[in-house]
Amino acid sequence: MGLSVPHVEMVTKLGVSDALTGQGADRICAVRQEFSGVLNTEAVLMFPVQQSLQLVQMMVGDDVPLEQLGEMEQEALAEIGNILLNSVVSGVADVLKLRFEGSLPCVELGPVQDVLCAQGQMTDQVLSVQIDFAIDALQIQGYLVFLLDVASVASLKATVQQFLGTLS
Amino acid sequence: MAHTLLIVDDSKVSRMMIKNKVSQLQPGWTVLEAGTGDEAVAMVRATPPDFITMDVNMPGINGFEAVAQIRQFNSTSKIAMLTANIQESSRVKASDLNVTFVQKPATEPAIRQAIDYFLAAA
Repeated sequence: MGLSVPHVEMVTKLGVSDALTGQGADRICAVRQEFSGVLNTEAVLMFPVQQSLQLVQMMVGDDVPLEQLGEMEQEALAEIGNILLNSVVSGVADVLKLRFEGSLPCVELGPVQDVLCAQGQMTDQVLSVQIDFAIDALQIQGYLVFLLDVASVASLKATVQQFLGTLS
Repeated sequence: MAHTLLIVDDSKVSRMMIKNKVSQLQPGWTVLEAGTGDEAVAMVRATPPDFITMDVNMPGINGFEAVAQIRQFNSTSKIAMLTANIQESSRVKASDLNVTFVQKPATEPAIRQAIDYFLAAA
């Protein structure tokens, strides 16, 4: 499986919602996981709900019998989210010399706005990372959003500045 | 040679993936499962397995805490942390506990890596 990060930006939740809805994803599958450390964030991985079973099938292959796939879909999605979210967060942690403790992943299915707006407002800024999961000929596009509070946005900016300072 | 492997992971899907691949690669092995670190500690105390794959992020005690508890009464079971938590700090923790570190997902190369470690160390 190839994983690319084509686009990273600070946008409003509304912007993320519009992008997902623009792909025809009125209902999404989301995997949430909290990470705490120098900065605290909730990472939310989202992709169109109609692609979730495909993603599960691709990950588990023949390891889970087809007749059990439906009942185990949510657990498989939690595991997929756990792997992808940790992969991204671990990369950030190692580059910025930080350490995060992660919570257990949880899965939600529902309209984009309900998932994104469990807390706060749709006008809140989030750090959005648009990810393409490229698996052979199949392309599944997902969004990873980091929900950061004001203090954590400031911490992130300071840490990135510090990191950039080490490069010069 | 027949060995016993204990898979410790709170995700049933992960346990199935690991078990299937181990059964394909080592059909003679007996595979046991635990869904939490606490359950794993109790199982190892009752009957020490030859090998253990240990997840990190689980309800209750985490995988590192479980390994630390196991090492208080068992020094023979070979342990591989099999986890999505791939931060450098996790690799250092695994090294400090003298166990190996294998990155999820539980693909065949990942399981083969754990098995190679178990058999090399056995």
